[in-house]
Amino acid sequence: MRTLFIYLILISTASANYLDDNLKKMNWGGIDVVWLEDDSLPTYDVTVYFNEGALGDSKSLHGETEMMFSQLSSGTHRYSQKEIVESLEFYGANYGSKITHEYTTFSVSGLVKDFVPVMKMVCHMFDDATFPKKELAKVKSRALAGLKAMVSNHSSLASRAFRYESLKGSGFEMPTSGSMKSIKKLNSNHLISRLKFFNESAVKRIYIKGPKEAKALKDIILNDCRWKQGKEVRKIPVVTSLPSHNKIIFVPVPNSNQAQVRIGRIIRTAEVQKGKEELKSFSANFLGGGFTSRLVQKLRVEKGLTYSAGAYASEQKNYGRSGISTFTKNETIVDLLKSIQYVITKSSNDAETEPFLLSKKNIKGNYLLGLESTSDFLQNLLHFDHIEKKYEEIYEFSGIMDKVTKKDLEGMIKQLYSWEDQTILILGDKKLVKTLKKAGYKVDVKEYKNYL
Amino acid sequence: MQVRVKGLSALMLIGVLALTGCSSIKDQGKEGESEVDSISIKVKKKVLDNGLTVLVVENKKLPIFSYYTYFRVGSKYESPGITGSSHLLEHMMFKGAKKYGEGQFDKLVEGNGGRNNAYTTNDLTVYYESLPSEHFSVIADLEADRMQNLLLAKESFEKERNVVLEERKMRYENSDRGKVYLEMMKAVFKGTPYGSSVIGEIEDLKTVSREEVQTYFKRYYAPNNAVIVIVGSLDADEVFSVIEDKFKDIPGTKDLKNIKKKHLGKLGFNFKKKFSEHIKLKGTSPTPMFSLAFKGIKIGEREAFVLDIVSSIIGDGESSYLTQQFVTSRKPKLQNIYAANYTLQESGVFFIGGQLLEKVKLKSFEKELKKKLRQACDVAITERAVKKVMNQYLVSMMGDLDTNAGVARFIGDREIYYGSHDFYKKELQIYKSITVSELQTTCKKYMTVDDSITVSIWNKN
Repeated sequence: MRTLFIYLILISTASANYLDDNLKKMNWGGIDVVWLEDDSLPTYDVTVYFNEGALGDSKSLHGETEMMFSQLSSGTHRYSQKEIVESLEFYGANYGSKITHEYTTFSVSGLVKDFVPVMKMVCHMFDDATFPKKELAKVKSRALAGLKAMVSNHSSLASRAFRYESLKGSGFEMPTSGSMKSIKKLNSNHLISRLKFFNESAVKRIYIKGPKEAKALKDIILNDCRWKQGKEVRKIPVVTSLPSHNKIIFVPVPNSNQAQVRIGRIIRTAEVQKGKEELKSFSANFLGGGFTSRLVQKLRVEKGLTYSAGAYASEQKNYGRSGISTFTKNETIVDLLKSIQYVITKSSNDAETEPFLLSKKNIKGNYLLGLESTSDFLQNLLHFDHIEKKYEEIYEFSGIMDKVTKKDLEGMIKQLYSWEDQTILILGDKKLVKTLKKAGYKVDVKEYKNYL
Repeated sequence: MQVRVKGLSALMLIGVLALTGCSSIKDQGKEGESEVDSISIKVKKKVLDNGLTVLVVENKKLPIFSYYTYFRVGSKYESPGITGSSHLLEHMMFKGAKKYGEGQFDKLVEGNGGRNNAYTTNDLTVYYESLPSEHFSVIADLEADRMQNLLLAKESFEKERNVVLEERKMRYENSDRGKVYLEMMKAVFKGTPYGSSVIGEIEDLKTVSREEVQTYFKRYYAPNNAVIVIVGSLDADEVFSVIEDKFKDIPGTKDLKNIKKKHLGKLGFNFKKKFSEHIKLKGTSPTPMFSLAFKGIKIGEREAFVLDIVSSIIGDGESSYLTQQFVTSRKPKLQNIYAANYTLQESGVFFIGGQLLEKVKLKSFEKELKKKLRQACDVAITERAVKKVMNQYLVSMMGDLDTNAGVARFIGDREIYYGSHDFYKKELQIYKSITVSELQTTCKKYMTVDDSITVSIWNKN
């Protein structure tokens, strides 16, 4: 029943101390713990947050953090890779990491009845991973093959190339997975050293969802993980300018009968620090957040140019990204670009009352639906902690949205999506270069291999 | 559009969920299985006079609900010339009806803080929405309107045709993985109603007329061919009352059972020949991607449950037999590998897929794979492996049941595929009775490398 309270608080402005009553905050050996007690299912979720991400990769070793976390299970002094994965999978445990540039999370979930053996094995991995050379060689070989094979996955390749270009010079442009060049250089010592930093120097927080039985984690963390609470806070780059692209970047790929289109820009540090996260999300929802969004209505419903079009605006602590992602057949690339530009211009000058009100109701409802799962609710709290936002602000989303005016929305669309500030990248058949130039666009052609 | 892989039964094992407010969970204990048996979902069911089946689960956890409509129609009911009609209708169902005209469906759902979508398979089409509870009545009205009076307006029909063609390119023509899957399904089910693609043949998508789609709609999108599942913070009696009020006057299709039987009977579902081909496709992948397909079995058969477990043991997860043999082994041959048991209502396919590493020859790998598969049934299937799969299914299932939508799918799928929303109780008995020896025997019976189809794709084919 406790999630009902969340909703009641969200839809009203009631000031019930829900979080005080239901969220337990503890400290285990210097590590802060956030506990959401939930006995609705005999399962648990544990997420460990580290205040260190891919920005901490050694120079020219991009992908080091991601490789280290993905290979925690590759072997310890006591167990082989086969024994570790067999043990964790035997209990049906799901585990894995998420690496961002600013922070990292490692999550484990499974059945409460098997909580202890699973968490003991996870802690053993953190405490004793050796990253055996033979295992690492195999993983690197697979990673390199996977990057090469990306040429047959146009959507992923376009998004990867777009990251490089739209974030160029910001310090955030490298994918957390690294490049072929940097992956080749990684060795076991690099990963051991990186793990040591996470175990001893990174600031950690633990988020738990589950019934009382999961409290056994305290002893396991203290005795098996043997983590030290770190104090190091890495200096995160301050983004002050946008990359100057005055041409469309075109990436030719073989055998493509569809053009992938990515349009967007980095959100600079000062823009992030001004707040208004909710308004930024709303601008993305209005443009491309559902079937009634302006882009889907224009590109799909009105013109039949594409199957899908989406917009996004999301932030970490020092930077964010906003943009539009879609595709179309070769014949309609120019129409698609002009239609997107029209939607942005129109929406930033006159967002129109009906879609404005509709989108506002939609984002409020979806915020609620996004909290239906208690695991998702906990992930929200983790994000709030990272960006140093108070949990209580989760209650305020609906109220904040109520206060947003049409003018606010138009202003944010202008700020984030103005055509002249955008990096535009198209990936597709090389014949499209001619089509784009004929339509008056300046085009800069770049090889897809540059982005692998 | 979405396809189900690994059959329904694999999603459901051992026991069933706990829904706050509608069930209870006993202490799990170390073994877990027997305790979970006692958990049950309280489903209320009603069948209207026109044949419409309605299932309701009250879950007062949050003031929201999910509404699923299952139509027992998918691509298997299409004929040459109108392939892709079920999927095209999946799109057109959001394009307006008589009472709520063009654009109204999405506006009312999203404008009331909700989400909606749909998917089509070979066997069925499913439409779903999730919203705050106060809007239940509007959603029921919208659903009744489009079941009875779909517009299929000419202009939006033509636009949607283009949208679907773009979707097809995205999923298949521009995706090596998609191409392999499509060709495998066509080859395996050649000459049967499963032998065409769910999304439709390109020529048919370009030429199928609005009138043909209208006729198809009138025949199959009727209350006696549908199941509605509603889960959330609603009163079941009130739900039945609203549904009855909105849907009771919509007539069912006369003689539907015979119409369907006659259509499916024309071709039948028997595999047409011994499998022995290797289909080579030209793609863009720098190393070969492959699929090795065996004749499978339809959902609900005991052997279908057995094959679910077999596929998990040999090809699901890092510790699975094939991954250990070819991906994480001392001399790896593959980037990845998986096994799947895709059980359909009338037939099935058991398949293995993966992608080679550089410098590995497809021909020699294929030979080695087949050699390992001949050994797999005896070597890989052990008591411990079976227990591992049971745990994995249980975790997966629990994860699915964390939301109203997950519960709606859970009981809706069982109602459709097994004819009973609480079939999980019987499923449980079936799973528990499966022995290592039976798994090995069934594995050998179906995973016959001399009766298989290989599909491969890369840039040098």
